Amino acid sequence: MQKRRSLYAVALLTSVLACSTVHAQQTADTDKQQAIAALKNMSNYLRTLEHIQLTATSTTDQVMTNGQSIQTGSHTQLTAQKPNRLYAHVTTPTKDRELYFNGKTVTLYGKQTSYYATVPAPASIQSLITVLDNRYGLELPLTDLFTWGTDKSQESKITEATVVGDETIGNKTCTHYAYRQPGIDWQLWIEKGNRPLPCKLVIIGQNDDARPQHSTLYDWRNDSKTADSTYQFTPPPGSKPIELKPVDATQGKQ
Amino acid sequence: MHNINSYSQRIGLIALTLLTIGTANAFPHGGPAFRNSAPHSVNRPASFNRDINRNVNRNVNRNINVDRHVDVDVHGHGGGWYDDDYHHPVATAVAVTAAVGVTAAVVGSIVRSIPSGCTAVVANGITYQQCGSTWYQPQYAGTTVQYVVVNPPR
Repeated sequence: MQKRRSLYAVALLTSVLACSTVHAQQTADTDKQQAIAALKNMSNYLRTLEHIQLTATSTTDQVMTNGQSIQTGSHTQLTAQKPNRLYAHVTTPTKDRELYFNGKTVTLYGKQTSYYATVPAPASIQSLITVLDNRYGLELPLTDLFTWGTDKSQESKITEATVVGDETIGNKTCTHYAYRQPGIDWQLWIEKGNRPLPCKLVIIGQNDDARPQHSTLYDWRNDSKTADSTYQFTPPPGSKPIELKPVDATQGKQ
Repeated sequence: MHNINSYSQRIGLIALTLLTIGTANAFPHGGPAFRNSAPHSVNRPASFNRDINRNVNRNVNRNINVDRHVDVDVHGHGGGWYDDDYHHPVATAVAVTAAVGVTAAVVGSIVRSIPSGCTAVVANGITYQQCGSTWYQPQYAGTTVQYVVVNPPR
């Protein structure tokens, strides 16, 4: 009699545990679907925008050979217009750099250096991203804003995704998501409501023990059109043209 | 012949001393070098792995007339926008001292900074910096300015 009762208790306990495990898995699956869907929704929205204007505040970890990470702050001002206008201005404590894309040429200018480099540019921001990367080893500032929702997106590489919860960032309520993919863990806060724009992005590199982090807070301005003169570079007095060095393919191999 | 050798040695020793001092002052922890940067984008994390030639191309140039920091250090893929240069101390003290030195830098070597007092020259549409007898051609590697030692323009 007792043996049957304890067997019955064990069976009940096992089935309860099995049920809660299944339930936990279903919740995890739902969270993952939700996080992926939110990323898609934000990406699609970004691709509908004709003009964007924003500033971004970032911190970036640089890891030293002794394993110590030093953080650098930066400020980015970006304005862009489909299909082929873009202006970016990035400042750090030691660097001030501007990028001008007017649909024909792209110019890099360093204020304190007083050097600028102008190279021919392809006819769209999307092509520009590829040329800057492949030919000059240059990534467009805030490049994800232009690659989410395109064939350059690496969304298919995401292995894990989850919803963390809502959070107030600045004066906005944003939903916090976390993702994992080969090479990086990253977290994205997306504005709630009918303008699903990124509020914040944190990327953590997996390829160094120091787990260096790059964190960006986005401040979206109104997305009305900017004057075309914004995208035209005029050499300031005393500035001089130099070459933008193409990346040496042989040096790229490690 | 013998006199020139000992003169060079003396300059070299002074330069080396100043080099050490320069490094210690420029970075509080004695100058550990940069090894890695955080990835700057989600859709291009390969930038993290494709940083080019970071600290491999060390000081192959033994001449005293050149900032001993000779790696190409493109950073690549966006690293150049957000990185600070504190880990590349500008050893201008060495460079200025060495500018009066005897030997010229090896053509093709690349440096991150040049001494003060150089003259910008535009010849045949190309911008140069002339520092004594050494001619440099500035160029952007990523967003970083570097200087290549070149032959004087004709």
